[in-house]
Amino acid sequence: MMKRILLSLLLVANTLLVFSQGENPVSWSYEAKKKSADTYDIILTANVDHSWHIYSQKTGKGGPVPTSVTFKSNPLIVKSGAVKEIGKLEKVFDKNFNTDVLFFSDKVQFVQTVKVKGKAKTNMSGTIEYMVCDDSRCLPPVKKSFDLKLQ
Amino acid sequence: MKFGVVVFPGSNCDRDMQDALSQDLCKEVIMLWHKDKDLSMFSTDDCIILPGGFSYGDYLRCGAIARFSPMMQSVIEFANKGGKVLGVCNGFQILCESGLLPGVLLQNANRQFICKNVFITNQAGEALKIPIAHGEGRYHADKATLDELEANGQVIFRYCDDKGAILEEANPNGAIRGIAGICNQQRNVFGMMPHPERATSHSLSNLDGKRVFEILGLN
Repeated sequence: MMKRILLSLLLVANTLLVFSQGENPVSWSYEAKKKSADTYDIILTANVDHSWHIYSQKTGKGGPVPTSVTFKSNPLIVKSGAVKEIGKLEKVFDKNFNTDVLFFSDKVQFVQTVKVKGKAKTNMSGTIEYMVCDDSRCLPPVKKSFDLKLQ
Repeated sequence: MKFGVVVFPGSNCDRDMQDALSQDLCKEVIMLWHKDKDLSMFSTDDCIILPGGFSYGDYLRCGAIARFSPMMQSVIEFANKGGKVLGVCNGFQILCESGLLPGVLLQNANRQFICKNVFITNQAGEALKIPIAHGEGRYHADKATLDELEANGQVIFRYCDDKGAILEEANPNGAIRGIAGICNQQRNVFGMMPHPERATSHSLSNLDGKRVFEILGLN
């Protein structure tokens, strides 16, 4: 009897471990694209697995955690405007949250334009926080760090 | 290369500098009194150092009185002939007051005297742990001057984190663009707020100051 209980517990623990490690529906890539001598686009690209959604920065309260980008303050860098979203934005009523949500599927880019003072070489680092859901469940919010050279 | 260390009334890092240069960098050092004017024992291959401290009590602005001392007149002439000059902390303030370097050092953004180890980075992105100890170390200059400094590669050190990343949170005094040290256009006059002479010995568990002298070509 004891042997069966231990075996069952082991199987459950193993399943949970595999489940928690295997769920990673978003792959990120980061790029600093030089636009002119002192201007760069910081491009954070999310490739989202089929059937999953990542949420807009502007998705409303009461719903899933909106994506947010936080840049570490750098005395050599001035941000121009807000973080833009490039992708196919969808708005639907989500019955799980009982509210409208704004999300992207497949691929979205979060783009921040920055200016570097003088001709200094520097880097831009920060974090992007996001969460993803499919039609029936959501994964906990995740923070990813990035660090890009501007030169 | 021979070194001269100027002693002003109120200098308090002159002996640290002398020890670091003579004991740790094995250099010949001559101490120079502020009331003297003679620099005939130095050639333009040598270096005059203005050490840290509170010259003349730092009354008026820091370095504003020291700038008029007899020895400083000779140092200005020496620099203009191409001789190397390094100002550390109060020495940097004196260099800015004397016009050998552009800009000014303002009161720290937090209005407090700060004494601690910080990290500075050069253009190669190294992170060097060097102590600071100042109340007026917030470098400032107008935008045109700053852009000119950047364009000419005259910003030699910026505050950074321990990995070399230039971040506002790693900037101890609010210096504009994180500037910790600069040089003149001819690259023979250097000024910096951090104290490399306090980081040149195994007994201090820090040799990064030696690297600073190396980067400045003063080794």
